[in-house]
Amino acid sequence: MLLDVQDLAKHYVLGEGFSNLFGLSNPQKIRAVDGVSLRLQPGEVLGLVGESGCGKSTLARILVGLELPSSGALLFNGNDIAEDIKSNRKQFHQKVQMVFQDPYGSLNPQHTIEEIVTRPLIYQQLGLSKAELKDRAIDALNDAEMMPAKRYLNKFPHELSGGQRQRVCIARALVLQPELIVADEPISMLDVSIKWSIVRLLKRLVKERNIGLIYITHDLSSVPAICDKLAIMYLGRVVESGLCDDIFKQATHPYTQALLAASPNPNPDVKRGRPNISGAIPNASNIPTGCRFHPRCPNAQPQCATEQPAERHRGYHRAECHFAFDVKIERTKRA
Amino acid sequence: MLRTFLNFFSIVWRSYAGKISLIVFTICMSLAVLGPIAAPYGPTERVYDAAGNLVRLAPPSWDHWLGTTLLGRDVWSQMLWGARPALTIGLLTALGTVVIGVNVGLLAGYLGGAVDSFLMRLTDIFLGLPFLPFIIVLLSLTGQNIWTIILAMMAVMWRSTARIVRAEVLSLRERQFIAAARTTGASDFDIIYREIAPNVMPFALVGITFALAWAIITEASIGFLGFGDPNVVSWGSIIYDAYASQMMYRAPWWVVPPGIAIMILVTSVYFMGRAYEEVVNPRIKQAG
Amino acid sequence: MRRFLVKRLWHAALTLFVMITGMFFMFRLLPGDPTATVISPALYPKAQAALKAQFGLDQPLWMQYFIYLKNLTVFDFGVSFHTLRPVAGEIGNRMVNTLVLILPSMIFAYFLGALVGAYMAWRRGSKAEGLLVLLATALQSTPVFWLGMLAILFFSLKLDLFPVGHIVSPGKFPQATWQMYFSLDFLHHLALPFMVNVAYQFCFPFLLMRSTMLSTIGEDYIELARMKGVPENKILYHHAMRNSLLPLATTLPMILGWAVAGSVVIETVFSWPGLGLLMVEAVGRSDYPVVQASFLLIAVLTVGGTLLADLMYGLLDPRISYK
Repeated sequence: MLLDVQDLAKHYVLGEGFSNLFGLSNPQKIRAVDGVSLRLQPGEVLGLVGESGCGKSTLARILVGLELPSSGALLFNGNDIAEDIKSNRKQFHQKVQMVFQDPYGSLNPQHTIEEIVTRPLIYQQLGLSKAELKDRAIDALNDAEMMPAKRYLNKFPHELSGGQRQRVCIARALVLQPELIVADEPISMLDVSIKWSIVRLLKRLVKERNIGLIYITHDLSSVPAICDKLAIMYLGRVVESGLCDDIFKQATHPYTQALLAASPNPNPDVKRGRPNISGAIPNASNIPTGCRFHPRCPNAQPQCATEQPAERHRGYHRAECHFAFDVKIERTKRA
Repeated sequence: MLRTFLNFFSIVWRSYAGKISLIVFTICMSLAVLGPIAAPYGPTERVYDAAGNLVRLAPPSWDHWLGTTLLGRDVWSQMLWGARPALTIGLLTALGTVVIGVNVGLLAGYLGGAVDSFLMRLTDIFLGLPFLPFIIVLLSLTGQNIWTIILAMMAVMWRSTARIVRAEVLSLRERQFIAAARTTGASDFDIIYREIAPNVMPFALVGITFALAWAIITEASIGFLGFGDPNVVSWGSIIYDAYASQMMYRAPWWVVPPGIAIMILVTSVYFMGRAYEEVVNPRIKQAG
Repeated sequence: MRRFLVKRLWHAALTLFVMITGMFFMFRLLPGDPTATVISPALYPKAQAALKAQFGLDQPLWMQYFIYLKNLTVFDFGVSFHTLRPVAGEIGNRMVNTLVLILPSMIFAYFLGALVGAYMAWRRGSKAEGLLVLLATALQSTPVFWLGMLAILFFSLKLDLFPVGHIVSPGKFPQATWQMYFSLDFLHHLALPFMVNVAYQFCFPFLLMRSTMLSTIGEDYIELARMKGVPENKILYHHAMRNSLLPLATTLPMILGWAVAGSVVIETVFSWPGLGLLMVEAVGRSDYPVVQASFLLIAVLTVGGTLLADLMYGLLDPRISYK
């Protein structure tokens, strides 16, 4: 198992500080990630889907070691990441890399492409010579389909297009030959024409090199093209997970159904029900009682407001809903 | 870093005012280097005429382009000798000022917390410090030579660069490329000096030009108040000598040239700084 | 708001305290014995000891420090090594002299700079603008003392319009009284340093106002006002200038503080008996109680200026609220 996340949580406390000593302010607890479990094998792509504010970016930051979890276990190749980060940060970062959402903000504007791609090797203090550094940078750029790589080495980020920049970001992640890549909305800021080539590139890299990829997105339309497995997040929890195909064919959580209905489908023959959910995602400092989705759920029952739903599953397909895999409800909804 | 530095000149060269000031500045620099060679007399050499009399307060003539002083020194030669201390003191002070200021700003902005509070309190204290009076007191206690003058000015002048750089670092450290560097294993040192520092270099360069302008004027003021290095002839000390001799009304040629030289040099520095600043960062306000 | 005020006041107090302490120890720990002038090493040891006791120099250093702090709270700045009289007696007068020179000229220069700066931004690209920017920069690059000397050379010595220096004609006011400041003789003496200071201080507000105005003029609401048919003059003074005043207003007290610090130079040229000149003279005589006291008062003015600038920023900018 490349990655095994068990009941991971990240809570922030606001308003804690000097004034709090006198009980003047009321500290607020924000439960950004609130008990998430995920598993990933090498060569697999796990899609992590949710609206903004659902905690997927926080989860990504924890996975790459930018933040430490408040509780839960995070095993990477069977080792606890929290321990790894404390004892050997550099080595951990060598194995887990991240591709960021914003190809403009994630490249240092004062560095050339060569510097950007070689910096990880320098920071890792691998003791490579200048020529070796350059070779590795060229290889990584070639792998990211920046060809011919030599032509880009002396350019600055502002001289490149959005798609090219994202390829540089991918090259920077690849240069350390990681085992896991976390891609946080890697295509959301790119032009439509480029999106698919980046998705294909990621898919190819995963399969060729047997890397694990966590693909984070709020947009379901790119998911079938790349993901093997899917986890739908809502307010800090995974509400439905399973194989990509299963979820697309038989989504059982009302939230997943709503997301699927909201995403455009090129096939006009496919007809889906339109569960209407209204309102916005609640604040993570004020999570609803019972099922956290019940205030917006079209199928909510009295029970939903009081009881937290247990996980139900059918094979690998899991969902956190009192009525998951309940045939009767599915029928009423479709009618 | 070298890249930003070279970039400075190409940006300055782009504008009309920048071009002229760069040329003027280059002329001053070459005066500083070559001046002492070209000078017909030594800086404190007394000039005697054919009859063996000291040539006191002679008006400008073919022999003495800018006349002579009360003690019979050739003003033109003194001007040529005086360029070097003005620029050496100015450049070294500006460099030191910016090195201190940038480091304080980087550390305060990046590390935050107690380090930031401490360094910013310190900066505030220095910002409240009366500049010239402090330097005079310091010089009166440490003795006056080129090095104490440079150190005394450096000790105070880093304050404005530190503030500007810190404000910039505060926004830079939240940028995604910093998180990206961290996920590739960069240490705090790497992030401060290899990721953030190149991005504050433009501010450092603007700081250098304004500090240079300020240092040249301050060095002259120190000289005028009588706290300059007594063994060095600088433009400021020529004015001081003229003032102290009480003879300036009889010899305007003695007082006017050094002041004009300072004015031209500092004006060119200001214009270079502004030409660069307008391109690199339209947001920073011109500092006095 | 109140919390912000308390915080700022506390910072200002801390700054002053650190400066006082720093000054005190600087004088006693740096090389060079400042007491050498008053207690000559040639004196008999007994006489030396007696003098030391008179100035409180026989106490241990930390004791001297506490006595110094305690005396400061009642405005006792010690006894001058030079005149052997209490420093406090003279220094108040000197501060007033500095303020009457610096304050009016600074405020005048500021208004003038703001008005001309705004107008020149409005006429950007014109010959007059380019010339004034060059002139202002050149003035800013000129050492003030040199400017002062040229003024003396021309207006006093050549044209004989103004006196060469000092605050009043010698012997006219044997005792410094408040009436002195209202006499024509005083104004006559003030004129030249006033003009020189205005010429020098004009540059900063002029250049600042011009650059702020240039960015304000590009804003949409100026275009809108134009489209509505508001007369150009009104746009300039009501719409554009009002919005550009903020950085100017907030820097005024700070620049004022700096001007007070820079007054050493201008007072020296014009032999103006202010704090700056007092300090320079005292440094020359190694009269360190006077140096400390005058430095402290100059510092109070600079720190006070910065404090005011901070507070004004909040009052003037509606976008900022103190929390």
